[in-house]
Order: sequence, then structure tokens, then C-alpha cells
Amino acid sequence: MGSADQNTLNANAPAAKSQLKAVWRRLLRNRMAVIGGGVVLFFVLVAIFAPLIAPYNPNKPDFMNRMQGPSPEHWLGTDTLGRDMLSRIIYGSIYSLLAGIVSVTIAAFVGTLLGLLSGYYGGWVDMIIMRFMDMLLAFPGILLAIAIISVLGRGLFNAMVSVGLYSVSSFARVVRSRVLSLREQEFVESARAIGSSNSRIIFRHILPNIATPVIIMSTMRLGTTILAAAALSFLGLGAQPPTPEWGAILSGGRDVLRVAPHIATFPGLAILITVVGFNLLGDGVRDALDPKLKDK
Amino acid sequence: MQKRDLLNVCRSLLVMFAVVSLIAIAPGAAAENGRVVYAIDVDITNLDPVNSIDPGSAAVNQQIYEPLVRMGSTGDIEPVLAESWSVASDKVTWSFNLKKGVKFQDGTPFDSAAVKAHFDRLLDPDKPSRARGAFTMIKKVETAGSHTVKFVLAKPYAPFLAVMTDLGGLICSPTAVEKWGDDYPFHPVGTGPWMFKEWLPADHTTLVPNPNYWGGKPKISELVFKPVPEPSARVIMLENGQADVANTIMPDEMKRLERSKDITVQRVPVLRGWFIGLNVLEKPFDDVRVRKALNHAVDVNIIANQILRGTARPLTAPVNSRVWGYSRQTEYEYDPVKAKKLLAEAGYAKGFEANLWVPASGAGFMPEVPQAIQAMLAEVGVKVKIIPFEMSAFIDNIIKDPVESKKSGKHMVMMGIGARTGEAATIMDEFFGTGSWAPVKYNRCFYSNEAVDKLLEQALQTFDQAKQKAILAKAQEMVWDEAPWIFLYEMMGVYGYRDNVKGLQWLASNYILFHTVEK
Repeated sequence: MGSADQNTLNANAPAAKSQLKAVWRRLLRNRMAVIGGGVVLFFVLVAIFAPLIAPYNPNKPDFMNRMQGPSPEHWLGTDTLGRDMLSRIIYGSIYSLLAGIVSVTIAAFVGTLLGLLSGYYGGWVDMIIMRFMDMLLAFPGILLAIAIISVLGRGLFNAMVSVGLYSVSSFARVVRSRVLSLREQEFVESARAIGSSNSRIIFRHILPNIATPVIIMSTMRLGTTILAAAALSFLGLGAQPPTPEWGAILSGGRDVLRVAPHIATFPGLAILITVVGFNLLGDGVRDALDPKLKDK
Repeated sequence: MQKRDLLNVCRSLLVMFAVVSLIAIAPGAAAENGRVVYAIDVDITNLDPVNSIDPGSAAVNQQIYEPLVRMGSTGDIEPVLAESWSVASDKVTWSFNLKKGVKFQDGTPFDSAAVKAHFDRLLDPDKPSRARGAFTMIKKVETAGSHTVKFVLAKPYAPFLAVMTDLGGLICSPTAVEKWGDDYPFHPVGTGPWMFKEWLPADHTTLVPNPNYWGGKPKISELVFKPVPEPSARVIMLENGQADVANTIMPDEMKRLERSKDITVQRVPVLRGWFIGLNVLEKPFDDVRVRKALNHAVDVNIIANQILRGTARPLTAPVNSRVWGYSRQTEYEYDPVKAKKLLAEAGYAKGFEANLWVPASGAGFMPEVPQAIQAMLAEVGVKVKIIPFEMSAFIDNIIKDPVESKKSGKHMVMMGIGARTGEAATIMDEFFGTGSWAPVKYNRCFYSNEAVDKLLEQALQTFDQAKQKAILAKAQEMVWDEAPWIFLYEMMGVYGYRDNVKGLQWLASNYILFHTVEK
């Protein structure tokens, strides 16, 4: 797969363009990826236009209409404080998508940087970074996130950070292994021969070549991080009331599961659909960027 | 908070797991015959009554131990280990004649020496005691013969008998205390109808009948207390028959449960009141206009009738209306406009931000209530952040001195006023007296008013009940007017039990006595 990537990103502009076109075509041919992309696009639009499409203020209680089932006034019913569930879920898409994007960005940024350093310099740098990554990997993801939150404190942003941090190691490992093979390639050696500095080699020559696996990892990771952030909010460690984060809404329906099951069901469905959407899209992106992988 | 957070989360996960597995279990898995399981909403933390006043521990301690006198179901004071009592003309010496022929579960005879030993331990300033606070008026305890005990008080204290009903007055066997030392909470011995068998913290506590109980051996073979913090899990256990009795049924589940054929829902009036204590030493709560504004901003009627489904009604005094000495005040009517005006007058036209600490669970607590309050306060510009705390760690976390309280930012704390003595003089003193500032007692609002202090001092020394009531009424009026709390509501205890369980007795303090239970 190495040489294909070099062509993708190191070749001149028109070739890159046609490469992108080919990727795009492959993506569109994949029906599941299109469905996933549609779902993701739908939720992105919902999040962007939330204030316009939400029929009610998501945080305004209506104590006289608590725990109502779905009705023409409240399509998804009302929650334990009489707040409109549809509006809360619409607004919740903002927090959930944001949680996914922020945590993946943190993970990709930190993980790529560490992977680059580790793979390029090798030796004791590699040793220290990778052993630390191994330590992180030893913990089950969500437990590690909980431990990080117990240091940072509760809150949605801290939940995003902690989910991001626990994903760092997967990025670092993938990037490192790519860098290990790249640094022996001829183009790196020639760069070194003409006297390029280490940082120039890392950021100008190696970084562009690891973009593909990082993009693939990021898309695949989005679903997982959204789920993890929702789980933390469900446990009361992420979004704090009255924030209509999906996990938090779900948690609010827990005590009344058998009296008003819709309160836990709808945010649960929203999480499910979004996560499946991101996973389908992620699979599609991987197949499109890396057709050889699919054949294996 | 950090370590506790982690623990809480692990526990939540476990509870979730439990709920799921409970739903999976068919109703066939019933509690065995002759064994009664009580699913209780709070943890059991310490079986030494000298060192625990939390409701979970007390629920168990009430079975193992007995006091000299107790507040019965109607709130009247009844004899238990004391047969009679009197106060001398000096108004500070109280004599109790003890019941004869009573033995502790380990065979130690119950006599005046045992009572003295118990109270000496309770009052020993060198030993830790969470229950001591209520008994600080006792100067010394003397024995007068084998079955008469004299309590000499530092000064006259009219409601002393009510104080003796408090949890620290549950008498421990002196032999067992000496034998086990620091390990005593794991080997509790009292005179009660139930003997300790095992305690697995956070899992269960098992008691077995005391064959030599002076009031007759209990009829069932085992009594199990199972802490189940998740409200829906308690209801499921009750419906499955895994629990025979459950407390704190959520109002939202009440109706559904009432329709069930083999479950009885019992509403029990309680002495507790709920409030949000405001730290009056800190801005902006140092301004009475702000405190009044907050009272006007919260619609307690809506909370009581809609969220708590009529199991509560607004507080109409700083104490619950069933407490002796209660005097009705004019409620702060719900008026957000007035609230905004008061806030503006105080210089907070734009509102302010504050932390609202609320119990994570326990004692009839519903998470919707603080969320509703949060929304109501937001309407007048007051943004509160809700921070949960563990009820079982209430004393350790919340009852802090002014410096610590300021540091931790605990400006608004929602809590229940226990009203353990059932009369207003002691409660008012504990919660509003200057001498009761935390951590000495529960005045964690650091409210201080010389006039109120004087009235309370006077009330505590007035033996004439009519006069005492009049004084207490004045004190309540002043406190109500200065509003160191957002006065919330008094709530019924809602219990569920399976129909084949008979003979449950509720004390006015809301603890269940299981002596006469049958199944």
C-alpha cells in the first residue's frame, strides 16, 4: 500500500485530482457508505439548523405535561420535566457531533504527533512513547476515560478530552508503523542527502504520506467516540443538566423506564443511528481510499 | 471528589448491571419463606450508633439496639428500656428507672452501668462520634443503684426527653464495645429483637432473631437489608419478590404499583423537611433580598404537586408541620417578577451564578427536583450548576466550617432536615443557632441572629409547653423572614411491600420496626 499513497499525495496536482475523483467514485459506488453518509449529513444539517427546526425551547420545562407519550404537539413526547423530547434530541445532535469531532481531533492530533516522533527517531524516544501508549492500551477505553475525568472534573468538554486522550494510542501505533516503513524509503533518504532538517523531513515528506490512514482511522473512530461521550454523560460525568446531550437525556429516562419508556428510547435510537451512520461511512471511506485493503 | 466519582460510577455500572439482570429474572425467584428482604435506597455505613446518624445505618441500628425512650408512630414519647423518668426541681437532673431483667444479645445484663458506659463513650471528646452533637447538653451521667441512671445537664433543657430518642441514644453492650474496640461496628450488640449476623458493605446486612428478646422473639427467620440506590431496581425487586419491602418509591411509579395485585403502597407522614441552605456569609447570599428573591423564584407548589405527584406539600415554617412547636408562616408566593425586582434592588439585576449541591440519592430524593429548581431560577437570571454528593458522606462532605465551605464553593446545598427529636426547639437550635455553626452542628448556612439565639435559649429552658410554643413561634417567624434557606417541601415517605408481609410498624421518624413482622 505504501507506493500507492506516495503517488496519491506526492505526485503533481492533476494526478492528485484524478486520484481524488477515483476515490469519490469508489465511495459513491458503495451503497452502505452512501447510506451512512446520508445519515451523517442528515444529523450534521439537523445540528447546524437546530435553532430553526426545533419546535420548542429544549430547556424549558412544562410541569403540567410531564412524561407525555408522542402526540401531535410533541412528536416524541415530553421528558420527566415536561420538556419537548424532539427539541432536546435536535439540540442534542450538536453536542453529540461536537463530542465526536472534538475527541477525534484531539486523538488524531496528539496521536499522529507522537507516532511521528516515535517512528522517525526510534531509540529511547520510541521506547518511552510506545511504552506509555501500551500503558494506556492496558486499560479498557471507557474506564480510562472515567479515570481521566476524575482528574479533570465533570463536564462535557472534559468528557470530550478524556475520550480523545484514550483514543490517542490507536492513532500513535498506526502512524508509527507507517513511519517506520516510510523513513527507509528512497525519497526520505534523498531528502536527508540534500541536507533537509529532521522537522522538514517529518512534516513535509512523511506527514503527507500518513494522511490516508489517519483519515481512515478518524472517520472510523467518530462513531466510537460519540458513543463513549454519550456513555460518560449517561453516567453523569459528561454533559450536566440541563444540557440536552443524548446520553444525558437517556439517563433521565432511566428511572421511569417502565412508566414512560419513550424518554430513554428516542435518544437511544438517535445514538444508535448516528453511530451506525458514522461506522458505515467510515468503512466506505476506508475501502475507497485503500481499495487493496478491501480485497484482503 | 475524584475518588468518590470513580466509585460512584463503578457503582452505577453495577446497578445498571443489576437492573438488567433483574429484568431478566422471572418472577419465580422469590425471597425464601420466613425471610424478609428490605430494599433500602441508601447505603449502610456504620453499625455503631455512636458513630452514625445516616438513614441507612439507622434503619438497621433501630432493629439491633433500643433506646431508653422512643418516639412512637404518633410522635409521642414512649418508654422502651426506661420504665419511668422524672426531672428534679433543679431542672438539670433527669432520672430514668430502667427496665429490669433485660439482657444484651451477648448476655451482658442491661443495667445502669451499661447505660452510663454508653453515654460516657458517646460524650468522650477524645473519641470520634457523629451522633454526639445532639447530646452536648449532658454534663455527666451517674448511676444511682443498679437500675436508675441520672443525667446531669449543663443547664436546663426542656426537650431533653426528645433528645434521648435520638440515634446516639441506642444503647450498645459495654462488653462488646470493649472486646472489639475499633472493630465494634462489625460486631454490634444491643438489646433489640434482632441480632447481627453479617454485614457486607454496599451489598447486604443480615439480622437474625434474638431468642431472648424481652418483648418476644421475632417470628421470621431472617431480616435482610439490601441497599439498592436505583429507584427502578427497588421496584423491580419488589415486583419480582426479591424484596418484600422497599422504601422511597418514586412518585412516578406509585400509580402503576398501586394497581399491582400483590403489592401495597404505603404513604407515611414524615417529620423531614427539604430545603436549600444558602451560605449567608458569602455573596450574594449575604443579602436578605437575594434570599427572599430565591424563595419567590421557586414554585414549590408545582414541585410538590406535579413532580412529586402530591406526595409533598410546601413547607410553611422552618420545620415540618408535624413537628411539635410548629408555627405556620405566610408562604413566599411564587412571583418571578417580584424575585427579579428584589434581585435588582440587591444589585443583581443580571442575576448570578452559583453551585447547587444536591444528594445523589436517598431519603426520597428525585433528580428532577433540582433540575426543576435550576430551570425556575434560570427564569430570574440565576444560573446554578448542579453538583451531586453522596448522602452517606453528608457529614464528611457538607458539614464543614465556614473557611472550608467557602473554599469548596458549597453556597447552595439541598438537604433534608431530619427532625429526629420531633420538636422544634432542638431542631431550630441545631440549624439556626449561632452555637450550632458547622461543623459543631448543622447550621451550615452560618445563619446568626442574636435575637433568635436568645429566643431559642429561652425556649430550651422553658418547661411550660404553652409558653415554649409561643417563644418558638417568634423564633420561626424571624428565621422565616430572614430566609437563610430556600424553603421547599415536606414529603411523605412512600413505601411498597408485598401483601404477604404483615406487622410492619413505622415510627414517626420513618424508620420501620420489624419486631412484629410476619410472612
